[in-house]
Amino acid sequence: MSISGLLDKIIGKAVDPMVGIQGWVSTRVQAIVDFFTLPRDVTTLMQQNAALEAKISQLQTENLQLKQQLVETEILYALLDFARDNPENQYVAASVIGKDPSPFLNYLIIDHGSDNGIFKGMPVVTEQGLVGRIDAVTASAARVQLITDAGSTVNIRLQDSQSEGQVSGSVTGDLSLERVSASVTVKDGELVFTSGLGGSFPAEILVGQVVSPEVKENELFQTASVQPSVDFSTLRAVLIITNFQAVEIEPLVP
Amino acid sequence: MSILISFPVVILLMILQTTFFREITLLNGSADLFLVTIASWALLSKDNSSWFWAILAAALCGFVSAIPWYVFVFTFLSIVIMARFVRGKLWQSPLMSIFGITMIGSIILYVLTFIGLRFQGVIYPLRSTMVRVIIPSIFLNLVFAIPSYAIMKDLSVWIFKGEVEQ
Repeated sequence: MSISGLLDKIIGKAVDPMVGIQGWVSTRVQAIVDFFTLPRDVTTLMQQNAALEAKISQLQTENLQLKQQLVETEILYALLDFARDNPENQYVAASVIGKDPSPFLNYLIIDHGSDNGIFKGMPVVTEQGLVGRIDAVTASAARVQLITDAGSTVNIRLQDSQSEGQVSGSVTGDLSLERVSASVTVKDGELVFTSGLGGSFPAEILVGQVVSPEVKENELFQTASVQPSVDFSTLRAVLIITNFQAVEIEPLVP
Repeated sequence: MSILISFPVVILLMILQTTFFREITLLNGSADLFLVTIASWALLSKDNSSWFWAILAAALCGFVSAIPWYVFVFTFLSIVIMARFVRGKLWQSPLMSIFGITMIGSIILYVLTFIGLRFQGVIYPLRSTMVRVIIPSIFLNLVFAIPSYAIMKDLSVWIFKGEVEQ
């Protein structure tokens, strides 16, 4: 029977149901084993999950800190490049740590003061252009009046027309071009630089760009808005020009 | 105790005001945390410490801000006077009291600021200043008056409960 293969068929017929039963029983036994051992695994998994979540949270925090540091580094590199490109001036870099408490004023507070060689009247710039000037100083901090402040006036020169005028701030933080003769042709987008007149700021620092110049009939001067080159809303670090002595011009009293 | 606690509170207020609250703007207006806190404390304190709080806050604001110092002194002391006057009259309507004092205090502060800066030679156009700065700032002050009052109430309960126990 073995030689003819008949035995294999008989054994096969007998074993097949056993294999089926074995599989059925095995599945059920495994389910029962899982039922009793799973809670232990779940506890382990929950612990692992908590540990991984803590790790993710820590890595996300580190990631944010590194991004923040990257932004600060980029700002500092930009300021450093600006300082290298303008070696005629001496600079002190400072971080912006606050704003004036009053909504009427556009002032910043920086983390460097007289201990770092900063004094009242020194110009403040970034790699983008003119920011303002030092208004008050303590040993370790200083207050900066922005060019957008309503009390700020900067003597300027227009790049193309070479005519001079003034840029004044306002309560809304907008800059306006004033005292430019109506006979001068002022172009939209023309660059505005400090003129150095009056002794408050060094010459040739970028202030912004002319927007919408307007000449009114019978007016001596024309007006325009000026788009500042510095983005004051994201200002984090500035450079103070320490080798510039501002001239305080007092009215002559006879 | 309420005098001692004023130092960290006022310093914390200055840090928050110059960093966080100056970033929360409505048009060009922003809330004045000192004003609402002094108003809340003046309504809630059971002793005379609100005078000290007002002078301390005014001194610090006058030192940090480019606004003339006398603006803060006059405003904060006016707020304390108003609060002490109102406290006996409207004690059943604390929200009405804080809103009223915040509103009048804000008007005093911004009108005095406007005048003080004009004395310094800075001329603001009245209409745009009113629309862009003063009215939005008053609105924000009123908004922040409620949480400020709640926080100062907790602080006053903590301070004066401690003093009663002693």
